[in-house]
Formats: sequence, C-alpha cells, structure tokens
Amino acid sequence: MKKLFIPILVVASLIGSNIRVQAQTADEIVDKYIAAIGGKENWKKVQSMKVDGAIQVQGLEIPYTVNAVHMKGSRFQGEFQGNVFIEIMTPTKGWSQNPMQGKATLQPLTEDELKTKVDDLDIQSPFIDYKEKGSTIESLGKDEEDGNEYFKIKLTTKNNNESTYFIDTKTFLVYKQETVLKQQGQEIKMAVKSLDYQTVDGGIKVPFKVDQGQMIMATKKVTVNPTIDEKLFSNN
Amino acid sequence: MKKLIAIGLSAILFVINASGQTNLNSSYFQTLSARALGPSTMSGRITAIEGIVTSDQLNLYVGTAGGGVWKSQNGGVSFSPVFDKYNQSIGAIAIDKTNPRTVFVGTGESNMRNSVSIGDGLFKTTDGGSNWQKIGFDSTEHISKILLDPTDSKVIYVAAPGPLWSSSAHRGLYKSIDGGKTWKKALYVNDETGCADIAIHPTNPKIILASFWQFRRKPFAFESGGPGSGMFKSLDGGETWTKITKGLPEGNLGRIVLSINPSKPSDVLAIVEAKVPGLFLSKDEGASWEKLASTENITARPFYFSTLVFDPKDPKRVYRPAFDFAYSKDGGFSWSNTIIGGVAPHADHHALWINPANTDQMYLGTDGGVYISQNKGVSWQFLNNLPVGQFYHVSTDNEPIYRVYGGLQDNGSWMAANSSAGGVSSANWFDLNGGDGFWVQPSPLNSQIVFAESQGGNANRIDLKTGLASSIKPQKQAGDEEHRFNWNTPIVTGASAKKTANGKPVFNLYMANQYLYQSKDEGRSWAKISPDLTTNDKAKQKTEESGGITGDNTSAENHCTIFTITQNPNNEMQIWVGTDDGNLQLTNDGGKTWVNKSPEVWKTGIPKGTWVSSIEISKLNPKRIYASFDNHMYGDHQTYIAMSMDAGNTWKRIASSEFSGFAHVVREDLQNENLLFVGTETGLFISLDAGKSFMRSKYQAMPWYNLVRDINVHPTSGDLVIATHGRGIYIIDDLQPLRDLAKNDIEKDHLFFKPADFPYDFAPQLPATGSNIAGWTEAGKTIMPSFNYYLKQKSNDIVKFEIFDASGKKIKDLNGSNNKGLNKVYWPLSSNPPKVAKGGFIAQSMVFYSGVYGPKVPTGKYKVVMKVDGKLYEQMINILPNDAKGFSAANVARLHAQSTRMFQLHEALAVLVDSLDKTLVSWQKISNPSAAQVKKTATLDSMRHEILELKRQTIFYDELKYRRKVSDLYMEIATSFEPMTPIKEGAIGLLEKEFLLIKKQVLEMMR
Repeated sequence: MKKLFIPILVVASLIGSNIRVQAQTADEIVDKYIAAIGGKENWKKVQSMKVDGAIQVQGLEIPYTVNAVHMKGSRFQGEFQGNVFIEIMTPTKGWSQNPMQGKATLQPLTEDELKTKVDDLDIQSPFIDYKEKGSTIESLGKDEEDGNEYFKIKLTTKNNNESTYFIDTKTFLVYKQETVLKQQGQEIKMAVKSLDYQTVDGGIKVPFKVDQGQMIMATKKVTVNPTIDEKLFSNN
Repeated sequence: MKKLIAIGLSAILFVINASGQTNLNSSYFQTLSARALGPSTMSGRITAIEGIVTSDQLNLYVGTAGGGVWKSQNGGVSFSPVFDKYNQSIGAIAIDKTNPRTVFVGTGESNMRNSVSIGDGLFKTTDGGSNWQKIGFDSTEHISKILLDPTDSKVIYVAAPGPLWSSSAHRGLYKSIDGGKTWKKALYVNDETGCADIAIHPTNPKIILASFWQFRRKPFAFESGGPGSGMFKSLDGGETWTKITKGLPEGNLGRIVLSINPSKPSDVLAIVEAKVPGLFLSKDEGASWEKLASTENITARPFYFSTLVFDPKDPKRVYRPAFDFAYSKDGGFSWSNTIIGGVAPHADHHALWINPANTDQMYLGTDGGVYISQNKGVSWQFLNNLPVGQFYHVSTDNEPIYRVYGGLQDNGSWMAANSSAGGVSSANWFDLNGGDGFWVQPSPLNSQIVFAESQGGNANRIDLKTGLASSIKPQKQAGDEEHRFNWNTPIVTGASAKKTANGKPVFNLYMANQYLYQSKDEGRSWAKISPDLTTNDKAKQKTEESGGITGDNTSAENHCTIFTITQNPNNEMQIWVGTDDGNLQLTNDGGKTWVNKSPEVWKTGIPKGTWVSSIEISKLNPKRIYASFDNHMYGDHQTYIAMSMDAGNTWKRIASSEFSGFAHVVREDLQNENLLFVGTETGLFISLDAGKSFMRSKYQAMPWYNLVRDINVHPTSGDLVIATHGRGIYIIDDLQPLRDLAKNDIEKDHLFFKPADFPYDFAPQLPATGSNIAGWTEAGKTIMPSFNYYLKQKSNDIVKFEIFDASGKKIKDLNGSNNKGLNKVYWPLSSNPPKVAKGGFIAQSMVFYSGVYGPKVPTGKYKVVMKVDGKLYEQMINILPNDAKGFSAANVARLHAQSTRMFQLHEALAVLVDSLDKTLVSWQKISNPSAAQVKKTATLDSMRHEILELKRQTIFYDELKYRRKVSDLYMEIATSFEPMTPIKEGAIGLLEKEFLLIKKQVLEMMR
C-alpha cells in the first residue's frame, strides 16, 4: 500500500512545480468573469431590462415581472391567488406591497432595506467599472462549495454593502453570491446560487435560475433595452 | 533521471486508472443532512470569549474545545457557528479593536488536559466571520493567546505552547508586523518549552511580558515545569528579552499566568506554578515581584486554569476564574468565591470577557458552557444555546422512538429520545450520572435499566423506574494486582444465548480494568474472564508521579488498561479486547484462553504499542474484523485503520488521502458491507466501496473537521448516530440512500432509487417543550415517504416529481433539489391542493390555506415519475395501512372520500366564481346599459358578495361567506387524522346542497 502512494506524491510534487499557476489577482478573476458573461462593451449598452419569470416554491408557481432602468429604478411585481406583490426601488426611495405580510398597499421601505437594495439598481454587473462606482474588491482565495472549487471575491460598494462572489475556477461564472444584509445592527448572511446561464439579446449572459434555498426564481424571458415607463417606479 | 521518469510514468498511469474509476467526493452525499441534537443543556468546554460593540450590538466570539467558534450579535441571546469548515479546537481569539470585523482565531486549545485536541493553524477574517483565511501556524498544534498591539493592530503576537506530545521547534512567541502576512519568532527557548502567556503594556506597547512553559504529556503521565520555564520581559517590542527572576520562587517553574492592570499598568499580577506556588504582584512593570496570595483556587491545576483578568476600569478588582470563580476587591490580596443568587457556574473555567462599556457585565467560559453575570460575577445565569458538548461515546436502545445515551467531558451521562414532538429540545435530555461521563449502555432486555459511569470505572446501574442508582464497579479479588481502570473505562453489552435458572433471557455486560469482567446479572456479580491483558509495563504505571511541579493524579493518566471490548453478537464465546498500550486480544472460548493479535497488525505499518481505540466485528461476515488505532500520545497523528478478512489472523491497512486525525472508531453498516464509516479527531469519513476509497463528510450540516468519537448504526431505523467531542450528537436519518448508492453504478447520469414501502404515519406534534425553556432545539425525525435520487452533475433546473394513483390520475407534483450527488424529496402523503375561488383579501384565512393544502391520499400503490434534464424515471411506492396508529385502510379511505367531496366543492365553486367574474366584467363594460342591465349587474355583484368575503381587508376582520364555510370544513377534514363520523359528515351534504342552490341562482342570473 505504502509503495503505491509514494510515487504519486513524488509526481504530484513534480507536476505541481511545472504547471503551478500563479495565484490570480482579484482583478484578473473579475476580468475573466466579465468576459464570461459577455464582456464589458456589451454590458455597458444595457440600459434597461425586462424579466418575466416565476417563483417556484413548494410545488407552486408564482409569476412575476421585473422592469428595471439602469441606476434609475426597478419594479418587481408578482401575483399569487389574486394577491399582488410589488417592490419598487429608486435611488432615493422605495416601496413594497405584500398583502400576506400586512402591507395591502404600497408602503415605504425602511432605511436598512433601502440601503441594502439601492446597489441592485445597477443592472449591469457591479464588477464593471467597479472602481468608478466607488466599490472595492478583495480576493479571499479559493474555497470549496457543493464539491467544487471557487475563487472567492469580496465586493464592497460605496454604500458599504458587502457581497462575496464564488466564481467558478473553470467557467469564471458566478455560482454563489453571499450578501451581508444589515438589519437593526444585526448582520444576516443571505446566499443565492445562479444556474443555467444563457446568452440573451445583446450578447450578454445571465442566469435563468436563481436558487435561494427555499425557492427558485426561474426566468422565462429576458428583454434587453425595452422602453420602460418610469412611472412604474413611483408609488402612485 | 531515468528513474524519476519511470516512477513518473507508472504514477501517471495509476492516476489515469484512478480517475477512470469513480470520482467520488463528499458532494455526492450532500443532501443527507444530519440532525444536530446538541444539546445545549449541559453545553461543553469553552476556551475563549472575546467581545466588541459595533453598530450598537454586542458581538461575542466564543471559542470551544471541540465545537469551533460561535458568534453572537446580541450579547449571547443567540449564537451561530462561524467556523464550520476548519479545525474545531480553539485556543485563542483576538478582535482588532480598530477594525472590529477583523478577527483572529488560533486553533489548538491550550488547556492541556488528557483529551485536549490539536489545532491546525491561525485564521483571520475581515468580515466578522463570514470568510476565513488561514495565515500560518501549520505545526504549532496549540495556541494559548493572540494579542494585537493596542496602538498598531498590524503588530500581532501569538503565544504558542506548541506540540504537547512531542518535542518540536514549532513553539514560542511569534510576531507579525504586517497584519499576519509574515511571522517571525520573537522568543524561543527550546523544543520542549513553549510560550504560555503574554501581556502587553496598554500605553507603551514596546513593553511586553511573556511566560514560557516547559510541559509534556505522555500517555501515562504529564510533567509541568522544568528549566525551560520562566518569565521574560522585553522593552523593545520583542526584539530583545531579559529573564525575570527577582522575587519569583526558586527552582524550576511551571505555567505562569500574566495580567497587566489596565488602569495602572505599572502593576502586574502573575500566578506562578512552583514548588511554593502563588499569586505575585509587580509594581515595576514586571521587573520584580512580591507574593500576595496562594488560595487553592489560585494555585490548583495550573495546566488547566490559566485565566486571570483585571476589571477594565477598577484597578483594585481582579478575577480568577479557575476551579471556582473568585474575585478580589483589593488588587489580589484577598479573595472571595461567594456566589449569591442565580446558578453556580459549572466548575473549571477557562475564559472571561468583561464588557468594557459596562464592567458589571461579564461572560464566563467553563467546562459546561457560557455563563453571564450582570453584577461583577456575584450571580450567574446560564446561556442555554451552545450545543458544544463533548461526548465520548453514544449508544441507542430499541424503544419505538429510540433513545440515545452518552457521556461527556466533565458533564456526566445523559439520555434523550432521538425524536420529539416540536423537536428535540434541551429540556428533552435527562441526566443519568455525575462526574465526567463516557460509556452509557441501556440494557438490551429492559428499557428501564441503564449503565453509566464516571471516570476511573465508577459505574452505576440506574433503574429508570425507581430513579435510583447502585454501584456496579468490579472490586478486587484475591490475587489481583491493584486495579487500573482507564479514565474512559469500557462498559459494553453483548447478546447471550443463556438463560437464568428460572428460564429468563440474559445478556452479557462487560467492564474492564487490566482484567476483563463479564456479568450476566446486570453488574451485580462479575466473573473475571481474563488475565491481565495489557503489557503491564510498570514504567507506564506511575500516575502518582504525574503532574510535574504540581502533583496531579486523577485517574486521567491511568495506563496499561483495557480500552475497548467487542463481543461477537452471534457468538458470545468470541470477544475482542483492545488496550491503551497496544494489545489486541482475542478469545474464542469465552475468556479461557487469549491470543494477542497485535503483532499481526503492526506488520501493516501501524506502530508497535499503538492505542487500540475501537474494534468492529462485521455483522454480515464474522470473519471480517476492523480496528482503529490512535498513536497521537506519541506525537503521531496518522489515521490508523486495519482490517482482517480471516477472523483476525492477518491484517491490512485501510488508508485514504482524505483521512486526517487520529482514529477513534471504525464501523461497518449493518446491511451493506461496502458501506464503512470512520471517525477521527478531525472528521467523519465514509466509504462506499468497502474501504478502498473514502470521502470526508462536508455537506451533512456538520463541521467538516468534526471530532468524531463514536458512530453507531441503529439497527431498525438505519440511522447513523454520531458522537462528537465538541458538537454533541448528530443523527443522519436513514442510511438507505447511501446503501443504494453503494450498490449502484454512480457513473450513470441519474439514479432514482426504489422508495421503501411506507406504513401510513405522521410525525407527532404534541406534547412539545415550552418554547421559553427549549434552548437549542433540533427538528424531530421527518416521518414521510421519501424519494431518493442521485444526479451525477448538478442539474440546471429543479427536479420534478409526479405521483399517479392506481387509476393513472396524476395527484401530486413535487419539486426536488438539483444538487450533484444524492438528493431527497419528501412526500407529505397529500395530493395537490384544490383550485380555490379567487377574490378579496385572504391572508391568514382558511381560504388561503385551502389553496396550498392538499387532502391526504388513501393507502395503496402509487407510480412516481422523476423528470430531470428532459429524462423520465419511474418507481412504484406502496403506502401501507398502519392499523396500530389508527390508519387502517378503511379509515384512510373514508377520510380521503370526505376530503375529496370538499375538494370537489372548492373546485366547482372556483369554476362558478370564475365565470361569474368574467360575466360581471363584461357587463360592467357595456356602454349605456339599460336600466334592466344595471339592475342585473348589481344583482350579480351582490351575489358575488354573498359567495366571497369581499369586506375583509385585514386579518383582524372575520367574514363568513359561502367560500369561507367551504374552506373551514375542507381544512378541518384535510388536516384531520381520522374520518368524520356519519353524524358530522352530514355537514358536507349541507354545503353541497347550498352550492347547488347558489349555482342555480348564479347561472339563472347570467343566462
């Protein structure tokens, strides 16, 4: 038994020294990620987006639509058993409606919620021109998740929102995003996993499935640069 | 050169071969989640507590002996584990006060007891524990303190006592000036002496005091103190050092604890282990010393108690958490250990953190969890939320809801039902015995009798009926040498074919010191059935000399003892015994003659004399024997597992590149001989191919480097029950998917395993623990049919399941996870919910629940179709009646018939309301309607208001219209576990009649 293992160790160390790849910097990894999702040039042309999809939870499908204009506003709207769920975000204000949680009409978001969600108005990748956007990135090395190996990159936005991205070491696509939400001073870690990347209009690549553990957001259709009436982003 | 290439080629060939075989890794069984039973009831050894206030929240980091790091953001109200991917033995924690989300964790506890674990480096997080990176210290094994320069947090000092069981240069005081990127040794004495403590002057951080400690453990004794020990002082941030002796005791010193008075830094206190030990005071920053006090609480067990803390604000108040909690109001001259009110904290203290913003408030880490005081340590309250108990062993019984039993480090012996209504809470655990606990064995024949022990073989028979315990410890017989019971003395049961004189069945109970004892009367009388089975090496029997400077003889170092016993379940004449000094003894004649098989084991490369930690006789093939071995007490951490296929005559090693940590246990499954489990000091490992390859458990909701001391497969449930030394008990419910996986070709893209027959049943819901006293609570066992499947690769979509009844009608859709490897989806024995009439505000009403709650299905055969990646797979499942629980086929069928009537009523109403709504909308759109039309529209609208609850706008407004009546009755039946009696059932007919009337009226109006 021992004999079999020794040569492997020798060879492993030989191979290791030959093909050892220099540790990649955070910027190199992020550049490869941006290339993998269609490239900076294509993404910078994306100014608005409409996504039709369904939340899949416990055998139920809850259809929804998201309308978003880059850095200006977004509106999520879904319906279940005749009850309408809405969330609206703008750079300064936001509202939500959730009849199941005591919000029968649009009600203002809390300061904590606004702060966490405001960065999502960036419908391009937050990594594109991250420096100009006032964000910083940091490499946290590699880590194992669900049996695969990922680069971990931490992005901190100018609003001090912090997310760790697990980037596939082969495809350079983001598999998992862990976001630290702050509510009433408590930090809560939220994780979403992105699956089923597909190329859509404009040559950009987006995940068609987002797995949030209890539920999956399944995209049915993506429209790039539709005309969106910004009245959608108000509470009246 | 040629040689190298040749070796290279053969190795590459081997690698290719290997990759052509199965490419198993731990992700393949990621969805077999374990239930963490904890409990938090007695918690476990705490080794470090650090806190800091950020965003107005009191953040605490609690380091444990074998359960990793737990973080609280609310001052201890609740905790989460934040270190589950790394080594679980925590030595020290430090928070960067200038950047509070930066935290350092040094692994490897430094409370150097016999069972202390071994660390694996220093780790750093910059985001409050979400992500950690290892920054060195691969080989120091133990870290006692991490201190950051109070004026420059890039400067870090790490005190490393270093390896406990061997000589090593990896010890001393280390320093980094770049936030931990690079390290150098600031002070090193020799390879027997490490750094035990360090203190930095709060305002002039160039002044540093460090204590060095010569300490070594051997399996049979330890020695604290020696010429290497001493106190050192630096005035230049650790560049140069002076050894301090002025005023300190003469002769060799042992462990020294240091504490600088933060309010008056010229004053320093030190507890010095010496022939004449005591608490010493320096008034000149450590240059010279005078003795203050020497109460037992200050001087006792210096290897175990090394905490001394000044109040952050009051220069006169000092705390000595040790065996007791003692406090001084006069700078250390006099001490009190009075506790008033609350609970007395568990003995044996290792950590104390005082909130600097409110110095009344303090957190104490003990051998039994964390306690909080709000009055400077006079009264204490227990935090019942840290499930970090250190079990040594676990056993189970054969009750319908089987119980688990086990003993813990300094926390006695406990039992709990493995599942409980509302979850297994801390209140579901019951105390059986005091002291340290180890083996607990239920009687195989009487569920009211349990055997438990405390250290050194002090075993009791506990009668659960009377609640009384009697000692069963074997006593000396003529001709015996002095008995040597291991600290962790085996108590083992075995099946017996014998009967008592009056024909009652008996079982064999075994205990051992250096001799093996067997009892057939529950430990009332013992037959000594062996000679001394150990090496009886007198050089290893000197516990009276143990301790070094401070004598310490507690039976913890008893050696040349029997440590493990296994009787063949089918042949009580065959018994295996393993000793702590390396003997592996076999008798095939019930103890008349013994053969030592260990020389055969040593031929496999396992070092001579290696401690035998467990022996496993295969239940499927009695010629197959496994044993695990632990040589860490000689500084060797390798995982040693051996296997014999010929009843122990010849042995071969079982090795794996996945293994780490010295081995505690090896266990074969009871049904599938390819399924093998190994528990080591740093993980649980699973083989699906009889030990050829192993994978580390990572995705079972357990720490990756769990300290796994014991593993049992429960015979009837097929559950894997795991005892950890730092995270309590874990249970992986039902090994069937692993058994299936071990039988199947995992190179296939998808596998859908045959579901087991399921006797109609539901998990109990009552009675449950009151939520205010529940503490750590883990879910009870899920009682539902499950569909287990395997995906070679992660699917891009959820996996869909469709269930069809005997008539071929689809009755249920289920979504399954899409993970690589094993997946599992439960079927709650319900069909799809009805379509419910739409309209109005329905939150928290039976109308809403009707739309998500399906009726229970009848017993019988169901076809299950799995859809994944565009492919279909089929299995049948048989849902059986369960008369004993009231689920006879007839009862379930009647319940189903009743709920189906209500289901149909819901759907018929939904159709009617839908067409009513459409008509109404179209009528409302008519421009210039006639007066008759206006009236018709209004009438139809008022009918709608009679059917639906449209006035309801909030959950606090109860409105009862026809839809609610249907919903209420539907939900009553759908959630019921028994059918309605005929009298009650009449209510369905009334609603059906009412519907016909409503329908007639609506249709007439719409015509």
